[in-house]
Amino acid sequence: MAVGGQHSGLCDDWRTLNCKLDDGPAPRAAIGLITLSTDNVIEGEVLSFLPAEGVALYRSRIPAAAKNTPEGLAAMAPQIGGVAAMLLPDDHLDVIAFGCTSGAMVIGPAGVAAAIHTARPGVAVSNPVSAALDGLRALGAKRIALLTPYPDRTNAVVGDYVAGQGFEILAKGSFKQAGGPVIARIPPEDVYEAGVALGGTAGVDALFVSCTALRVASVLQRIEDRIGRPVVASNQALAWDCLRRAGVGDAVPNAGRLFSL
Amino acid sequence: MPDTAVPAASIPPWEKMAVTFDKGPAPVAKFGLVCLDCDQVIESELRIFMPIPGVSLLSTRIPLGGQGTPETLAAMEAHIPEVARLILPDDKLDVFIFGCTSGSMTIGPERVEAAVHKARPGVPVTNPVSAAAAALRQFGARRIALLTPYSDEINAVVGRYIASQGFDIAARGSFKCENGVEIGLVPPEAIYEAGVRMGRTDCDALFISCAGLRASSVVQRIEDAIGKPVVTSNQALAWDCLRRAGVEGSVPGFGRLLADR
Repeated sequence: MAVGGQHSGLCDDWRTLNCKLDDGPAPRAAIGLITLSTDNVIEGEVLSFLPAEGVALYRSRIPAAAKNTPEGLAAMAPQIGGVAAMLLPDDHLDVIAFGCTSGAMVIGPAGVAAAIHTARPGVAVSNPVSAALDGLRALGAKRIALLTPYPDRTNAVVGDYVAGQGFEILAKGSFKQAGGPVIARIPPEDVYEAGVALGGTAGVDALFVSCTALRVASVLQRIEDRIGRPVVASNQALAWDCLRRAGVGDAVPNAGRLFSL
Repeated sequence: MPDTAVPAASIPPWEKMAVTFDKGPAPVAKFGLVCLDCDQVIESELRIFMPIPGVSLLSTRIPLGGQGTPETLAAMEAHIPEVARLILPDDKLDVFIFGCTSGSMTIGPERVEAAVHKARPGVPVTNPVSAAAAALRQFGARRIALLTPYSDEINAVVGRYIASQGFDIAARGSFKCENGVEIGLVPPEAIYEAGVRMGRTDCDALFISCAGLRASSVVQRIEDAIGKPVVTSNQALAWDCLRRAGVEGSVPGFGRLLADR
């Protein structure tokens, strides 16, 4: 394809510069990401798990409830389609991800996919909880430790959901905080300490750190090295799943065992 | 409770994990970005121009709804407040970016700022054309060579706007793309060739207009070839955001605007 040939003469002193178009900035993977309005963490963390060349992450935001209660999370469902519609509407996307772990559990992965498909029929879809549980299965983990930042009522939803997917939860811990802005201020070192404490529980196959607004990327590999078991985190699993769905199988350094599968 | 229920005592409780708080993922600066629904480039290019730890770029999209014309660009004004609310609504942003050059010229920078302030009173607002004009003035440039990817209709708006800001236009060239998707497919090498050609005319500086052009990898090479400053939409945005947020330090490799700051 080439552009520049259709010189109309409307503005004669504009020189027409012909050029041959290429495959654009994301020939390997074009990923759309629906981000919570309050999430200050997911964009940077997901990008840290993506290869730099030929992969792009396009973001658009959805209004989030101030508190991440089950009711507030469920209220996002009707808005997902409208947000998905704004992600490169006339262009190809390899996958659209819904960037909220607890929201995906409350709405349900099927509900999230259906909402995205109202705007983008047929596009591959990802969300952090399906991605993380697929990741845990791919790692052969059945008995897991769970770390979240959520308040108790959301933790109850998360615990039930994960158990309902066939995992045995041997340990579960939470920072018990409400809302993206507060969760974003939990230092990675606190995630490290809590992750080591829970992930070191006897009999655990893997640790799952839930929530896209939690800063995990800088300590994930250190937790794995310390506990000697794989760590799966929401943003890491989301990046892994989106890349896999786009057909990109790159190993990513310091991103945990998941990326070496 | 039926007999088959798991006794409550066997379910491990949610352990409260120790938590402290730090300044969060963006202790240096938080920039909010509104980008066009069709823009494949601005989110990654802005990050490339601001490789600074502790700086966050939070993005969301605004509907353009197909081809950019003076009418569709102007119609975005009404959507600005609703999308401005979606970027960390409870948080203070250091700078709010409206990421469309031709849209800023069509609507007018003052009206763009007023629309942002309806949702975010008092936040500093920037846009590519105001940032680029400030950058060109800093270089003392009066005679400008212009390179754009736009259609004739948009080029007419751009030419008039730049002239109205007190610049003489020494030369103007355009790839004349038909839509936003095509703009993302203009290869960096074509920007290099065209930039050198336009920049070698009798001008003080070259302005490469459009946030959707992949110019970051060739800005420095064009400057080296023409021996004059090169200002691009995304590079000027990064420069303006950093100076308004009080972030100091040279960013080498993308022209003297960011290197000599």
